Amino acid sequence: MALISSPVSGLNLEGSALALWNEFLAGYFDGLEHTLGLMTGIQFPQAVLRFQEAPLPQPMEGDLGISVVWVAPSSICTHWDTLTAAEITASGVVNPPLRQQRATAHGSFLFLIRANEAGANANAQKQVADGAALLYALLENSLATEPLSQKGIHKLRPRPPRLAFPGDGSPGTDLNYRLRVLACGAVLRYPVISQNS
Amino acid sequence: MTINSNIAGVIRQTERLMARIPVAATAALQPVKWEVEAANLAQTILYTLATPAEAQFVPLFIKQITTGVFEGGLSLKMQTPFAPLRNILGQAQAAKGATSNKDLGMGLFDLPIREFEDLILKWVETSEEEGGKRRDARDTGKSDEQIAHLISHIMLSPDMDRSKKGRKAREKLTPHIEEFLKSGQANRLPPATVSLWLQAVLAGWREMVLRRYPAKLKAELAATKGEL
Repeated sequence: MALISSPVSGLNLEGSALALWNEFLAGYFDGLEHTLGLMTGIQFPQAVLRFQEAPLPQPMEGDLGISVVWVAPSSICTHWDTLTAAEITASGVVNPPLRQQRATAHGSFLFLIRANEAGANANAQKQVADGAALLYALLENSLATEPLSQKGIHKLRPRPPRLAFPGDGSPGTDLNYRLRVLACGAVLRYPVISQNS
Repeated sequence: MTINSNIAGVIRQTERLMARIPVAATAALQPVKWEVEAANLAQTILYTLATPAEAQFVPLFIKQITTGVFEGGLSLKMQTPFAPLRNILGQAQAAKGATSNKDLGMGLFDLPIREFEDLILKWVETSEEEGGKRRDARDTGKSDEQIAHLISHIMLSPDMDRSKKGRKAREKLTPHIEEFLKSGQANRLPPATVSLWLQAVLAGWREMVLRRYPAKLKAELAATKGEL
Protein backbone atom coordinates (compact mmCIF):
# COMPACT_ATOMS: atom_id res chain seq x y z
CA MET A 1 0.00 0.00 0.00
CA ALA A 2 1.84 3.10 -1.21
CA LEU A 3 1.01 6.36 0.56
CA ILE A 4 0.33 9.48 -1.48
CA SER A 5 0.64 11.98 1.38
CA SER A 6 3.78 14.13 1.47
CA PRO A 7 6.76 12.77 3.40
CA VAL A 8 7.58 13.96 6.90
CA SER A 9 8.72 17.55 6.61
CA GLY A 10 10.50 19.99 8.88
CA LEU A 11 8.11 22.67 7.63
CA ASN A 12 5.25 20.96 9.47
CA LEU A 13 6.61 18.07 11.46
CA GLU A 14 3.48 17.32 13.47
CA GLY A 15 1.03 17.91 10.63
CA SER A 16 2.95 15.92 8.03
CA ALA A 17 3.41 12.94 10.37
CA LEU A 18 -0.26 12.93 11.38
CA ALA A 19 -1.38 13.19 7.75
CA LEU A 20 0.64 10.06 6.99
CA TRP A 21 -0.93 8.27 9.96
CA ASN A 22 -4.36 9.31 8.76
CA GLU A 23 -3.84 7.83 5.30
CA PHE A 24 -2.11 4.72 6.63
CA LEU A 25 -4.73 3.88 9.28
CA ALA A 26 -7.65 4.72 6.98
CA GLY A 27 -6.27 2.17 4.54
CA TYR A 28 -6.68 -0.60 7.13
CA PHE A 29 -9.51 0.34 9.47
CA ASP A 30 -12.18 0.42 6.80
CA GLY A 31 -14.23 -2.65 7.69
CA LEU A 32 -12.64 -4.81 5.00
CA GLU A 33 -10.15 -7.68 4.82
CA HIS A 34 -6.49 -6.78 4.41
CA THR A 35 -3.10 -8.39 4.07
CA LEU A 36 -0.96 -7.92 7.14
CA GLY A 37 2.67 -8.60 6.25
CA LEU A 38 2.39 -12.03 4.63
CA MET A 39 -0.91 -12.93 6.29
CA THR A 40 -3.93 -12.52 4.08
CA GLY A 41 -7.63 -12.17 4.82
CA ILE A 42 -7.32 -10.30 8.12
CA GLN A 43 -10.65 -8.65 8.90
CA PHE A 44 -10.26 -5.07 10.15
CA PRO A 45 -13.08 -3.10 11.79
CA GLN A 46 -14.18 0.26 10.49
CA ALA A 47 -12.92 3.11 12.65
CA VAL A 48 -13.43 6.84 12.90
CA LEU A 49 -9.99 8.48 12.96
CA ARG A 50 -9.23 11.69 14.81
CA PHE A 51 -5.99 13.54 15.51
CA GLN A 52 -4.83 15.60 18.49
CA GLU A 53 -7.72 17.34 20.26
CA ALA A 54 -10.29 16.79 17.49
CA PRO A 55 -13.30 15.22 19.24
CA LEU A 56 -14.95 12.05 18.03
CA PRO A 57 -18.48 12.53 16.66
CA GLN A 58 -21.09 12.04 19.39
CA PRO A 59 -22.91 9.81 19.94
CA MET A 60 -20.53 7.17 18.64
CA GLU A 61 -23.36 4.76 17.83
CA GLY A 62 -21.25 1.61 17.96
CA ASP A 63 -18.34 2.97 15.93
CA LEU A 64 -14.77 2.25 16.86
CA GLY A 65 -12.83 5.48 17.36
CA ILE A 66 -9.06 5.86 17.13
CA SER A 67 -7.57 9.16 18.26
CA VAL A 68 -3.88 9.78 17.64
CA VAL A 69 -1.99 12.07 20.00
CA TRP A 70 1.55 13.19 19.15
CA VAL A 71 4.13 13.17 21.95
CA ALA A 72 6.63 15.65 20.56
CA PRO A 73 10.37 14.91 20.78
CA SER A 74 12.41 16.95 23.25
CA SER A 75 15.27 17.42 20.80
CA ILE A 76 16.06 16.88 17.13
CA CYS A 77 19.51 15.81 15.94
CA THR A 78 20.97 16.55 12.51
CA HIS A 79 23.76 14.95 10.53
CA TRP A 80 25.13 15.25 6.97
CA ASP A 81 23.79 12.74 4.48
CA THR A 82 23.17 12.18 0.78
CA LEU A 83 19.61 12.74 -0.42
CA THR A 84 17.70 10.07 -2.32
CA ALA A 85 15.98 10.76 -5.64
CA ALA A 86 12.59 10.58 -3.91
CA GLU A 87 13.65 13.15 -1.32
CA ILE A 88 14.92 15.53 -4.01
CA THR A 89 11.60 15.26 -5.85
CA ALA A 90 9.59 15.73 -2.65
CA SER A 91 11.61 18.80 -1.62
CA GLY A 92 10.47 20.75 -4.69
CA VAL A 93 13.93 22.30 -5.02
CA VAL A 94 15.45 22.07 -8.52
CA ASN A 95 18.80 20.25 -8.57
CA PRO A 96 19.89 20.83 -4.99
CA PRO A 97 23.29 19.48 -3.93
CA LEU A 98 22.90 15.87 -2.82
CA ARG A 99 24.80 16.50 0.41
CA GLN A 100 22.34 18.02 2.84
CA GLN A 101 21.53 17.74 6.51
CA ARG A 102 19.15 15.08 7.69
CA ALA A 103 17.14 15.59 10.88
CA THR A 104 16.24 12.76 13.24
CA ALA A 105 13.57 13.08 15.90
CA HIS A 106 12.70 10.42 18.48
CA GLY A 107 9.03 10.96 19.17
CA SER A 108 6.06 8.79 19.95
CA PHE A 109 2.36 8.54 19.34
CA LEU A 110 -0.51 7.62 21.64
CA PHE A 111 -3.43 5.77 20.12
CA LEU A 112 -6.63 6.12 22.14
CA ILE A 113 -8.99 3.38 21.00
CA ARG A 114 -12.61 3.83 22.04
CA ALA A 115 -16.07 2.37 21.48
CA ASN A 116 -19.47 3.30 22.81
CA GLU A 117 -21.15 0.78 25.11
CA ALA A 118 -24.61 2.03 24.20
CA GLY A 119 -24.12 1.75 20.45
CA ALA A 120 -25.22 -0.91 18.02
CA ASN A 121 -22.37 -3.14 19.10
CA ALA A 122 -23.39 -4.50 22.50
CA ASN A 123 -19.88 -5.54 23.50
CA ALA A 124 -17.84 -2.36 23.28
CA GLN A 125 -15.11 -3.79 25.46
CA LYS A 126 -14.46 -6.61 22.98
CA GLN A 127 -14.65 -4.15 20.11
CA VAL A 128 -11.97 -2.00 21.74
CA ALA A 129 -9.80 -4.96 22.71
CA ASP A 130 -9.93 -6.39 19.17
CA GLY A 131 -9.24 -3.01 17.59
CA ALA A 132 -6.26 -2.39 19.89
CA ALA A 133 -4.87 -5.88 19.24
CA LEU A 134 -5.10 -5.42 15.47
CA LEU A 135 -3.49 -2.00 15.66
CA TYR A 136 -0.63 -3.44 17.71
CA ALA A 137 -0.19 -6.28 15.18
CA LEU A 138 -0.19 -3.77 12.34
CA LEU A 139 2.40 -1.48 13.94
CA GLU A 140 4.81 -4.25 14.86
CA ASN A 141 4.78 -5.68 11.33
CA SER A 142 7.68 -4.04 9.50
CA LEU A 143 6.42 -5.13 6.07
CA ALA A 144 3.02 -3.56 6.71
CA THR A 145 4.56 -0.33 8.01
CA GLU A 146 7.09 -0.03 5.18
CA PRO A 147 4.99 2.66 3.42
CA LEU A 148 5.35 4.83 6.54
CA SER A 149 9.07 4.18 6.62
CA GLN A 150 9.37 5.27 2.98
CA LYS A 151 7.81 8.57 3.96
CA GLY A 152 10.01 9.23 7.00
CA ILE A 153 8.31 7.46 9.93
CA HIS A 154 10.76 4.74 10.97
CA LYS A 155 11.40 2.24 13.75
CA LEU A 156 7.90 1.89 15.10
CA ARG A 157 8.00 0.34 18.57
CA PRO A 158 4.46 -0.25 19.84
CA ARG A 159 3.82 -1.21 23.45
CA PRO A 160 1.01 -3.70 24.06
CA PRO A 161 -2.16 -1.90 25.22
CA ARG A 162 -2.05 -3.49 28.65
CA LEU A 163 -3.61 -0.85 30.89
CA ALA A 164 -6.77 -1.97 32.65
CA PHE A 165 -9.46 0.63 32.22
CA PRO A 166 -13.03 0.47 33.46
CA GLY A 167 -14.59 -2.49 31.74
CA ASP A 168 -11.52 -4.69 32.13
CA GLY A 169 -13.07 -6.34 35.15
CA SER A 170 -13.08 -3.25 37.33
CA PRO A 171 -16.28 -1.46 38.37
CA GLY A 172 -17.22 1.33 36.02
CA THR A 173 -20.73 0.66 34.92
CA ASP A 174 -21.64 4.33 34.75
CA LEU A 175 -19.17 4.89 31.91
CA ASN A 176 -20.70 4.86 28.49
CA TYR A 177 -17.57 4.00 26.56
CA ARG A 178 -14.50 1.80 26.74
CA LEU A 179 -10.93 2.85 26.13
CA ARG A 180 -7.50 1.34 25.60
CA VAL A 181 -4.28 3.26 25.12
CA LEU A 182 -1.51 2.04 22.88
CA ALA A 183 1.81 3.92 22.89
CA CYS A 184 4.19 3.63 19.98
CA GLY A 185 7.71 5.03 19.74
CA ALA A 186 8.91 6.22 16.34
CA VAL A 187 11.87 7.85 14.70
CA LEU A 188 11.06 10.64 12.24
CA ARG A 189 13.62 11.50 9.58
CA TYR A 190 13.51 14.31 7.07
CA PRO A 191 16.02 16.30 5.00
CA VAL A 192 16.86 19.89 5.79
CA ILE A 193 17.54 21.50 2.41
CA SER A 194 19.92 24.33 3.21
CA GLN A 195 23.00 24.01 0.98
CA ASN A 196 23.52 25.79 -2.33
CA SER A 197 25.40 24.17 -5.16
CA MET B 1 58.86 -1.56 19.49
CA THR B 2 57.03 0.63 22.00
CA ILE B 3 53.53 -0.08 23.09
CA ASN B 4 51.68 2.87 24.63
CA SER B 5 48.49 2.47 26.58
CA ASN B 6 45.79 5.06 27.19
CA ILE B 7 44.15 2.93 29.84
CA ALA B 8 44.97 5.44 32.54
CA GLY B 9 43.08 8.09 30.57
CA VAL B 10 40.15 5.76 30.00
CA ILE B 11 39.97 5.00 33.72
CA ARG B 12 40.14 8.71 34.55
CA GLN B 13 37.37 9.44 32.06
CA THR B 14 35.24 6.60 33.43
CA GLU B 15 35.72 7.84 36.98
CA ARG B 16 34.62 11.32 35.94
CA LEU B 17 31.59 9.89 34.18
CA MET B 18 30.68 7.85 37.25
CA ALA B 19 30.65 11.07 39.22
CA ARG B 20 28.88 13.11 36.56
CA ILE B 21 26.08 10.76 35.51
CA PRO B 22 24.16 10.82 38.82
CA VAL B 23 24.42 14.61 38.87
CA ALA B 24 23.21 14.85 35.27
CA ALA B 25 20.44 12.31 35.96
CA THR B 26 19.19 14.38 38.89
CA ALA B 27 19.41 17.59 36.88
CA ALA B 28 17.45 16.03 34.00
CA LEU B 29 14.65 15.12 36.42
CA GLN B 30 14.19 18.61 37.85
CA PRO B 31 10.42 19.24 37.91
CA VAL B 32 10.77 22.63 36.23
CA LYS B 33 12.06 20.86 33.11
CA TRP B 34 8.94 18.70 32.86
CA GLU B 35 5.96 20.65 34.17
CA VAL B 36 5.10 22.52 30.97
CA GLU B 37 5.45 19.44 28.77
CA ALA B 38 3.43 17.37 31.24
CA ALA B 39 0.61 19.92 31.32
CA ASN B 40 0.56 20.27 27.53
CA LEU B 41 0.38 16.55 26.96
CA ALA B 42 -2.28 16.07 29.65
CA GLN B 43 -4.35 18.84 28.09
CA THR B 44 -4.12 17.27 24.63
CA ILE B 45 -5.09 13.84 25.94
CA LEU B 46 -8.04 15.15 27.97
CA TYR B 47 -9.43 17.30 25.17
CA THR B 48 -9.10 14.25 22.91
CA LEU B 49 -11.13 12.13 25.34
CA ALA B 50 -13.68 14.74 26.37
CA THR B 51 -17.05 15.04 24.73
CA PRO B 52 -18.12 18.64 24.02
CA ALA B 53 -20.11 18.64 27.27
CA GLU B 54 -17.15 17.30 29.26
CA ALA B 55 -14.57 19.71 27.82
CA GLN B 56 -15.45 22.34 30.46
CA PHE B 57 -13.81 20.12 33.11
CA VAL B 58 -10.42 19.82 31.37
CA PRO B 59 -8.96 23.10 32.77
CA LEU B 60 -9.98 21.97 36.29
CA PHE B 61 -7.92 18.80 35.85
CA ILE B 62 -4.95 20.71 34.40
CA LYS B 63 -4.96 23.00 37.46
CA GLN B 64 -4.54 19.91 39.64
CA ILE B 65 -1.18 18.98 38.11
CA THR B 66 1.74 19.18 40.51
CA THR B 67 5.37 18.29 39.95
CA GLY B 68 7.95 17.51 42.58
CA VAL B 69 10.90 15.42 43.59
CA PHE B 70 10.11 11.93 44.79
CA GLU B 71 12.88 9.78 46.32
CA GLY B 72 15.47 11.32 44.05
CA GLY B 73 13.22 10.99 41.02
CA LEU B 74 10.54 13.03 39.34
CA SER B 75 6.97 13.10 40.60
CA LEU B 76 4.17 14.11 38.23
CA LYS B 77 0.77 14.15 39.84
CA MET B 78 -2.74 14.93 38.68
CA GLN B 79 -5.74 14.31 40.90
CA THR B 80 -9.46 14.72 40.55
CA PRO B 81 -10.65 18.30 41.00
CA PHE B 82 -13.92 17.05 42.50
CA ALA B 83 -14.27 16.79 46.26
CA PRO B 84 -15.75 13.49 47.46
CA LEU B 85 -19.54 13.41 47.57
CA ARG B 86 -20.52 14.00 51.18
CA ASN B 87 -23.57 14.45 53.28
CA ILE B 88 -22.82 18.06 54.25
CA LEU B 89 -26.09 18.50 56.15
CA GLY B 90 -25.68 15.29 58.18
CA GLN B 91 -22.07 16.08 59.03
CA ALA B 92 -22.92 19.63 60.09
CA GLN B 93 -25.79 18.41 62.35
CA ALA B 94 -23.52 15.82 63.95
CA ALA B 95 -20.81 18.41 64.49
CA LYS B 96 -23.29 20.85 66.03
CA GLY B 97 -24.51 18.14 68.38
CA ALA B 98 -20.93 17.36 69.38
CA THR B 99 -20.32 20.98 70.33
CA SER B 100 -23.09 20.73 72.96
CA ASN B 101 -25.13 23.35 71.18
CA LYS B 102 -22.58 26.08 71.76
CA ASP B 103 -22.26 28.73 69.13
CA LEU B 104 -18.52 29.05 69.46
CA GLY B 105 -16.37 27.02 67.07
CA MET B 106 -14.90 23.85 68.55
CA GLY B 107 -11.87 23.26 66.33
CA LEU B 108 -12.39 19.91 64.63
CA PHE B 109 -16.19 20.33 64.57
CA ASP B 110 -16.05 23.93 63.39
CA LEU B 111 -15.29 23.18 59.73
CA PRO B 112 -18.42 21.19 58.74
CA ILE B 113 -20.63 23.76 60.49
CA ARG B 114 -18.97 26.67 58.71
CA GLU B 115 -19.16 24.78 55.42
CA PHE B 116 -22.90 24.24 55.93
CA GLU B 117 -23.46 27.88 56.85
CA ASP B 118 -21.62 28.97 53.70
CA LEU B 119 -23.79 26.63 51.66
CA ILE B 120 -26.98 28.07 53.16
CA LEU B 121 -25.80 31.61 52.45
CA LYS B 122 -25.13 30.59 48.87
CA TRP B 123 -28.62 29.06 48.67
CA VAL B 124 -30.17 32.28 49.94
CA GLU B 125 -28.13 34.41 47.54
CA THR B 126 -29.00 32.25 44.51
CA SER B 127 -32.12 33.21 42.56
CA GLU B 128 -35.15 30.93 42.79
CA GLU B 129 -34.92 30.13 39.05
CA GLU B 130 -31.44 28.74 39.61
CA GLY B 131 -32.49 26.58 42.55
CA GLY B 132 -32.08 29.20 45.28
CA LYS B 133 -34.40 29.91 48.20
CA ARG B 134 -37.89 31.17 47.45
CA ARG B 135 -38.41 34.50 49.25
CA ASP B 136 -41.58 35.02 51.26
CA ALA B 137 -43.05 37.54 53.69
CA ARG B 138 -40.91 36.25 56.57
CA ASP B 139 -37.77 37.29 54.72
CA THR B 140 -38.90 40.88 54.19
CA GLY B 141 -36.52 43.42 55.70
CA LYS B 142 -33.82 40.83 56.43
CA SER B 143 -30.40 40.71 54.79
CA ASP B 144 -29.18 37.52 53.09
CA GLU B 145 -26.83 36.93 56.03
CA GLN B 146 -29.64 37.24 58.57
CA ILE B 147 -31.85 34.82 56.63
CA ALA B 148 -29.00 32.35 56.25
CA HIS B 149 -28.15 32.59 59.95
CA LEU B 150 -31.74 31.83 60.94
CA ILE B 151 -31.99 28.86 58.56
CA SER B 152 -28.66 27.49 59.80
CA HIS B 153 -29.95 27.73 63.37
CA ILE B 154 -33.18 25.91 62.43
CA MET B 155 -31.32 23.15 60.62
CA LEU B 156 -28.46 22.61 63.07
CA SER B 157 -29.55 23.53 66.56
CA PRO B 158 -30.47 20.47 68.68
CA ASP B 159 -33.04 22.69 70.47
CA MET B 160 -35.04 22.96 67.27
CA ASP B 161 -35.16 19.17 67.04
CA ARG B 162 -36.81 19.02 70.47
CA SER B 163 -39.72 21.33 69.65
CA LYS B 164 -42.63 20.39 67.37
CA LYS B 165 -42.46 23.75 65.60
CA GLY B 166 -38.76 23.39 65.07
CA ARG B 167 -39.06 19.88 63.64
CA LYS B 168 -41.79 21.03 61.25
CA ALA B 169 -39.69 23.96 60.01
CA ARG B 170 -36.74 21.64 59.53
CA GLU B 171 -38.83 19.09 57.60
CA LYS B 172 -40.02 21.81 55.24
CA LEU B 173 -36.55 23.18 54.59
CA THR B 174 -34.64 19.90 54.24
CA PRO B 175 -35.79 18.80 50.74
CA HIS B 176 -35.06 22.23 49.25
CA ILE B 177 -31.59 22.41 50.78
CA GLU B 178 -30.80 18.84 49.74
CA GLU B 179 -31.89 19.59 46.20
CA PHE B 180 -29.63 22.65 46.07
CA LEU B 181 -26.79 20.60 47.52
CA LYS B 182 -27.27 17.90 44.88
CA SER B 183 -27.40 20.40 42.04
CA GLY B 184 -24.07 21.82 43.19
CA GLN B 185 -22.54 18.38 43.32
CA ALA B 186 -24.12 17.25 40.04
CA ASN B 187 -21.85 19.41 37.93
CA ARG B 188 -19.09 16.84 37.89
CA LEU B 189 -17.86 13.86 35.92
CA PRO B 190 -18.81 10.29 36.85
CA PRO B 191 -16.10 8.58 38.95
CA ALA B 192 -15.36 6.07 36.18
CA THR B 193 -14.70 8.86 33.70
CA VAL B 194 -12.43 10.60 36.21
CA SER B 195 -10.55 7.34 36.70
CA LEU B 196 -10.28 6.82 32.95
CA TRP B 197 -9.01 10.35 32.34
CA LEU B 198 -6.39 10.04 35.08
CA GLN B 199 -5.20 6.68 33.77
CA ALA B 200 -5.00 7.93 30.19
CA VAL B 201 -2.86 10.89 31.28
CA LEU B 202 -0.70 8.54 33.33
CA ALA B 203 -0.14 6.39 30.22
CA GLY B 204 0.79 9.49 28.25
CA TRP B 205 3.20 10.75 30.89
CA ARG B 206 4.83 7.33 31.09
CA GLU B 207 5.47 7.44 27.36
CA MET B 208 6.68 11.04 27.56
CA VAL B 209 9.22 10.29 30.30
CA LEU B 210 10.42 7.10 28.61
CA ARG B 211 10.99 8.90 25.32
CA ARG B 212 12.31 12.21 26.56
CA TYR B 213 14.40 11.31 29.56
CA PRO B 214 17.34 9.85 27.54
CA ALA B 215 17.49 13.03 25.44
CA LYS B 216 17.36 15.25 28.51
CA LEU B 217 20.06 13.18 30.23
CA LYS B 218 22.23 13.40 27.12
CA ALA B 219 21.75 17.17 27.03
CA GLU B 220 22.77 17.49 30.70
CA LEU B 221 25.90 15.41 30.08
CA ALA B 222 26.71 17.44 26.99
CA ALA B 223 26.42 20.61 29.05
CA THR B 224 29.20 19.36 31.34
CA LYS B 225 31.27 17.87 28.54
CA GLY B 226 34.00 20.48 28.93
CA GLU B 227 34.48 19.45 32.53
CA LEU B 228 34.95 15.76 31.76
